[in-house]
Amino acid sequence: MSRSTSRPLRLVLASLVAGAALFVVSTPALANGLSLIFPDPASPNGHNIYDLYVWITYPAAVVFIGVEATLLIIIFRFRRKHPAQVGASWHGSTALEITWTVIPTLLIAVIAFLAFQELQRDFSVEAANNHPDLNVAVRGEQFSWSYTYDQGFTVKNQMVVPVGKMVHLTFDSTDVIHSWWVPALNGKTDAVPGYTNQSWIKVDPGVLGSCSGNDRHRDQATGGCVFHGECAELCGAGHYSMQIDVLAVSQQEFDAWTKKQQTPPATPKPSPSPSPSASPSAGPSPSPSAKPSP
Amino acid sequence: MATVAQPQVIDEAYERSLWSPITVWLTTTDHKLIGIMYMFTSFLAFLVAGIFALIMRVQLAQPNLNVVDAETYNQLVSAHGTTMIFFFVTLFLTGMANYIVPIMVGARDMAFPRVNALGFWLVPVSIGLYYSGFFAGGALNAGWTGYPPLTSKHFNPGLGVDFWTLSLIVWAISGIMASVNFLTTILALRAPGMTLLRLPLFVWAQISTSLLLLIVGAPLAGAMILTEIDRQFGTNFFTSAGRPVLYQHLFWFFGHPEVYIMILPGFGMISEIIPVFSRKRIFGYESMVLAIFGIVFLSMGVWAHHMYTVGLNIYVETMFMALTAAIAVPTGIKFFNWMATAWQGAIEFTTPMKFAFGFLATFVIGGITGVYLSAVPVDTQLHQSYYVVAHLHYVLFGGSVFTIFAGIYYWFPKWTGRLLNERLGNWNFWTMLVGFNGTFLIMHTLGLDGMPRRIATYAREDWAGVNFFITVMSFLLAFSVLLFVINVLYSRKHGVIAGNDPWDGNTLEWATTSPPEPYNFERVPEVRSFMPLRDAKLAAAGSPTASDH
Ligand code: HEM
Ligand SMILES: [Cu+2]
Ligand SMILES: [Cu+2]
Repeated sequence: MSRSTSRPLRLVLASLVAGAALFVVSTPALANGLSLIFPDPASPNGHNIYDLYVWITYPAAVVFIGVEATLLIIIFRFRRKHPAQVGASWHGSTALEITWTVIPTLLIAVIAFLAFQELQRDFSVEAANNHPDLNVAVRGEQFSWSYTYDQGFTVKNQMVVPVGKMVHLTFDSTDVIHSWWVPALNGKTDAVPGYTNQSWIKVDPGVLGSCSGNDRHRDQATGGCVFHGECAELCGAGHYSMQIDVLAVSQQEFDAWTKKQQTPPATPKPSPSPSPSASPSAGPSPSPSAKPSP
Repeated sequence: MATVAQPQVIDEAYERSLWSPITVWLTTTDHKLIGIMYMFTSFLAFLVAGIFALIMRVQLAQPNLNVVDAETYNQLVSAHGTTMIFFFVTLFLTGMANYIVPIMVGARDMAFPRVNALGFWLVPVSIGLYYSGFFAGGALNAGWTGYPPLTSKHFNPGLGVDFWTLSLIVWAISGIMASVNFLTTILALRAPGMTLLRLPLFVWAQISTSLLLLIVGAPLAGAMILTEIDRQFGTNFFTSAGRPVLYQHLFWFFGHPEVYIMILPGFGMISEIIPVFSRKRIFGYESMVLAIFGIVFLSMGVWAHHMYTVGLNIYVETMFMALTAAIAVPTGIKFFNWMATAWQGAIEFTTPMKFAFGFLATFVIGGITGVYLSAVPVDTQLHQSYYVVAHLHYVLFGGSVFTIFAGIYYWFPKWTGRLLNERLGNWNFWTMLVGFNGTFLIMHTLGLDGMPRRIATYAREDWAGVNFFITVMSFLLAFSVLLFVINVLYSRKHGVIAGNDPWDGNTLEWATTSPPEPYNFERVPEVRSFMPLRDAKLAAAGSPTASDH
C-alpha cells in the first residue's frame, strides 16, 4: 500500500471543496439575513441568554480550533515515510493527563456557574413573579394558542403586550404537550396538560422605533412590532401550523386594545390588526390531513 | 511488519457456509454467523431509514411543499429516528461485537450460544412489529421519543403506537439477553493470562455498553408497558389526568445512556484502530478504561437535560447541568489520548484510519454543541429546534456511523477473507465527509434562527436557501452510502485476499484465519498484555514484549 504520495494533495483539495461548499451555503443564508446566532433579543431574559451563548463560544472556539489544528498537524507530520517505520515508544504522561483533565474541568465549572447565575436571575419562580404589570395565561390546544388576560377576556392567534412592562406568563394545555417559543423574547416553556408553568417577558421599548429582522414585522395599525415564533413540541398533524405572534405596542395602544376586548358584543375580531401579508400565522398550505378525534 | 502477509486460500467450507442454505442460517448458534446476521439486518434498516430521511429532505427543500402530507411526515420522522437508533446503530454494534469480542478474548463462542441466537431472532420480530404499523393504518407519529399524552388512545386511536410499544419491549428483551451474554463471555471465557487489565479497549467498551443496556433496558420496557396499559385499560399513568412528565423521566433514563450505548463501542474501535495504523501503543490505557467508566456512571445521572423546558426546579436543573457538562471531561480525556496516540506515530491513512480521523474531526463539533446544550438557559432556546437535529446527527452520524464505517473497513477482511477496495473506500470517505458536514453544519443556524424540529413544512422564505442546500447535500451523503454498498458487493467477490493479519494488528482476532474456523482458534494463545499478537510478533523477532500488564 504505497499510494500515499497524492494523499496530502487530495486532502488539501478536499478542504478547498469543503471550504467552497461552506461559502456557497453561507452566501444565500447571509443574503437573506438569516442570523448565524439568535435573532436580536428584545427582552432582558432573551438578552441574557444571548450573552451566555456568546460567553460559551470563547472556550468552544479555542477547543474547536485547537483540536482541528492538532489533527491537521498529525495528518501532515506523522505519516509513515517508509514501510518499516514504527511510531515513538512513549505511551503515557501523568503530567499531560492531569492537564487535560483539570483544564476542561475548570472551563466546564465556569460555564456551569455562569449558567446557574442566569437561571437564578431569569428562570426562578421569583423572577417570573417580580412585580408583574400584567398576567397572561397562555394555553395550548391542537393547533392554536389562546391568551387570557387579567381583565378576564381571551384572545386567539395573537398576543398583545405593552412594551417596557413586566408580563408574567403562565402556560398550560387542554390536550397534549405544546411548547411556546418566541426566540427574540425568551427560551421556550412547555405547555403541559395537568399543571401550570410560568415565565415572563418585558419587551424593549426600542422595538417601537426599530423592528427589523426576519422573525418580526411592523404592525401598521398600531405602530407596534410583531414577533414571530412557533410551537416547538410535536403535538400532532397540525404541529407545523401552530404559529405564535406577539404584538408589542405602546401603553396607550395597549389600553385602547384592552378596552375594545372588554366591550362585549360588537367586536368579533380577536386581534386589533389582522396583518395578512407578512406573517405566516395562517399556516402554510398543506393542511393537516388527520384531525385527531376529540 | 517486515513480511507481507501471505495470501491465503479462504477456507472452502466456511465460504460455502456464507452461501449455505437458509436452514444453516436459521439454526446457527455460531457467534460469527449471528454477528453477520445482526449486521446484515440492521444495515437494511439503515438503508430504509436513510430513504425516509431523503423523502423528508425533499419535503423540506422549499417552503410550503406538499410532497408528503403532515401526518405522513410525522410517521416518517418517527420511523427514521426509531429505526436509526434502535434498529440500525445499536444492533449493528451488537453484531460487530458478537463477531469480534469472543475472538478478541480468545473464546470459542459466546457464553450462551442459544440465547445469542434467540436474542438475534427477536430482532426481526421487533422490526416487523414496528413496521406493521405502516400496514395497519399508520405507524407511530409522535417522534421517536413518543411523548404522551400524544401517544394516548384519546389522541392516537390507531394501532401505530401499539406496534411501537410492543416492538420496543421485544427490542429491550433482546438487548438485555445480548448484554448478559457479553458480560458472561468476557468475565468467564477469557484466554489464559488475559486479566481484566489486559482486555483490549474494544472489549472494555463492550463491557460498559452491556452494563448500561442491562441497567436501562428495563426502564424503557417499563415506560412502554405503562403506555400500553394506559391505552388498553384506561389507566392514568401518563395521561393528562396522570403525569405525562413521568414518562419523560423514564424514557430519558433509558434514552441518554442509550446515546452512550451507541457511542462507547465506537470509542472502543477507535482505540483499536489508531494504535494499529500509527504503529504506536495506545496512550494512557488505564485512563482510557477509567474514562469509559466515568462516562458510564455520569451518563445515568443526566437524563433531565432533555427536560429543561418542562418546568423543573432550577436547583434540580443545575444538578443535571453540572453532571451533563462533566461528561465532557472523560470524553475529552479519551479524545486527547487518541490524539496523543497518533502524535509521533508512523501513520498510514488506510480507509479505516481515514474514517477514524473523520470521526475525530466531526465528533468534536457534536461534543462542543453538547456543552452549549447542557447550559440550561441556552438550551431553553435550542431545545427541540434544528440546532438539536444538527447536534444529534453530529454525535450519531459523525460519531457512531463514522466509527461503524471505520470498524467495517477494518474488520471486513476478517469477516470475509477479502479487503474492501481502497479506491472506492477513499471515495466513500470523502463523499461522506463532505456530504455529512454539508448536510448538518449549516443546520445549526436554522435552529438558532427559530426553526423547530419535526415540522412538516415551514413558511419562512429566508429559510429556503439553506434548506435547499441541505437537501442537495443529503443526496451527496446518500451517494456515499451507495458507494459503500457497491464496495461491499464488489469486494466480497473480487477484493484482495486478506490473509490472517492484513493490518499488522495487535489483538487476537488477527491471530486466526480470515474468516476464522467455527471454533476460532486451533490452540488458544497465551496472553501477556493487551496486545497479545504484538507480543507474539516481537517474541518471534527476538525483542522484549511490549508490555508488562
Ligand atoms: C442519510 C443521512 C441522514 C439524513 C439526511 C437525515 C436527516 C434527518 C431529518 C431530515 C430529520 C428530521 C428532522 C425533523 O423534522 O425534526 C432527522 C431526524 C433524526 N435523525 Fe436523521 N438523517 C440521517 C441519518 C441519521 C442517522 C445515521 C441517525 C442515527 C444514527 C439519525 C438519527 C436521527 C434521529 C434520532 C432523528 C430525530 C427523530 C425525531 O425527531 O423523532 N439520522 N434526520
Ligand atoms: Cu406543536
Ligand atoms: Cu441526553
